[in-house]
Amino acid sequence: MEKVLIELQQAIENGETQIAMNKTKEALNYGIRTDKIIQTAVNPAFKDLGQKMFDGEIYVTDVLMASRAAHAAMYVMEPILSRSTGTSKGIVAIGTVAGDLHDIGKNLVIMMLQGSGYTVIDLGIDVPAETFIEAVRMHKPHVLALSSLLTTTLPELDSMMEALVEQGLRTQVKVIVGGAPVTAEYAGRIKADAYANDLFEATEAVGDLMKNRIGKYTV
Amino acid sequence: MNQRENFFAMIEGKKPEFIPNSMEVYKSCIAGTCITDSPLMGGVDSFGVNWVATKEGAMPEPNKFLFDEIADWKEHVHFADLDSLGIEAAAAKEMEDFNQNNRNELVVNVFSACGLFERMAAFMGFENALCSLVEDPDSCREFFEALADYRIACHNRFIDAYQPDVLTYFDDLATANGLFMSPKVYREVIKPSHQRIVEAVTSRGVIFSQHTCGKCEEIVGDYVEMGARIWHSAQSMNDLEGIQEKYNDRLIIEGGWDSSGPASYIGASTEDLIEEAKRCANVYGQKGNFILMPTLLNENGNSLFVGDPRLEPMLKAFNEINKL
Repeated sequence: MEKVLIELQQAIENGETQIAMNKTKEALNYGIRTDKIIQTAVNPAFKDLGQKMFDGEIYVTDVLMASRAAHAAMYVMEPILSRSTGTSKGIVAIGTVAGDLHDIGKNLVIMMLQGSGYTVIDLGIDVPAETFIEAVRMHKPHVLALSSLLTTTLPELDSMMEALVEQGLRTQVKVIVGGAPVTAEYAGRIKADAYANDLFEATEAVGDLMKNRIGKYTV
Repeated sequence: MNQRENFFAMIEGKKPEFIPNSMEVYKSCIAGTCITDSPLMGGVDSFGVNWVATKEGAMPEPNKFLFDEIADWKEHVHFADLDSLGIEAAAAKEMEDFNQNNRNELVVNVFSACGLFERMAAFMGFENALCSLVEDPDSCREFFEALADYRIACHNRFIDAYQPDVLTYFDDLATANGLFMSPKVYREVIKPSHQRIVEAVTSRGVIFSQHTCGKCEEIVGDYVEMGARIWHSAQSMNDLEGIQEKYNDRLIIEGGWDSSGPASYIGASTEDLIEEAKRCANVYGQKGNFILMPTLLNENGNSLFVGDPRLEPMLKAFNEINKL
């Protein structure tokens, strides 16, 4: 029974979508619960990939392929996940701030978060502060993830933090910021809760924020 | 030495008199590539891709792709008839105030934007493009070969029209942390066509400058091997000193600027900029194979296009300490 989870983890890490689907079906046929599949195969796969990325052993293509394989595994589990309650690890609302049309980094983080079992609300690109505010009110996400890829849109992050305070929403949601010109120091200055340099850091940081834990990427 | 003589001293492996900077050494030419590759001010390009203008340059309209599968490229990609684009007229207009005296002083550098991988991503999106390199390398190679033919034809037009000294070819292949794809994938799928592009330029007696942002040091050796003499935008997350040491007079490093550091923040003071320029001069400039390329952004966008009052005092201060 455990062998199939190891094979699933391997298939995800290798970016083998069809094998990942087959192994997920096999695991479900063995009666393995979806939360165990996620905790024992999907999450460790991403943890390994994160370490390999950090060590420079793999590249963005490898992460994308792995993410697609993880999505395939989640797709197989979806009918069961949607019937059960409390299986999502939490809600993350994410978007690129106003004036910024970049979506590559944001989309990679979304793929990673979804593959790791989070419910992600993608607010898109060039998102004005009002839309973020509305999303926080409507969806009540645990984490709001803000992306800025341009130095010219960096001040939007600051404005967003101020808008959350002004609207009385700041204590209701944790905020993580990221993007090429963003630094930990800047994140601290605008009083964000966490800063991430890449998609793996973002996933780890979201996990910490969900659990109110002070982690490596907490500001 | 004037800027041109100093530049060619570097290219010839002789000792330059001073460390040049990209804003003063070149006459940069962009009109040709705006027609054939990516419209600077936004709009639909010759392939039918819509570009949207941002403060820091144009980019393909997000989430609007011509196709999803690289195997389908032939159905969707139609190469323009170069005779119909008006490249020569645009070049003539761009060069109308640039006379022989200017040519004796400066280095003419023609830009060629949106290289092989970037064009693929413009057609089908970044994620699809990257996955295609792994999932369907044969179709990718076929696509790149056809695109290389087009790019070579464009470059020949540029060379005839501008008579440039340098052609700078833009293809971003890396994030700040590393390459998008493994060096193996680059070498097997992209490099053969990339190599043809380099050779077609150098065979015309034009210096090839390769632009790649981000941490791409793993394939800089490939660039040198193919014949690139300049690596443009060489950013500080790479081991620039090691690369300078390794390739010495075979490769000029153009960049150095810490584009994620305080000197590139909006609102950075002129003093911050001068400090960064001095750091670059001290750290990278002493070996005679470096061109400073400041990355200076303000509320209106990239200073290259929108200007910036901090530029002049920064360059003045740099030119006081750049003697070798």
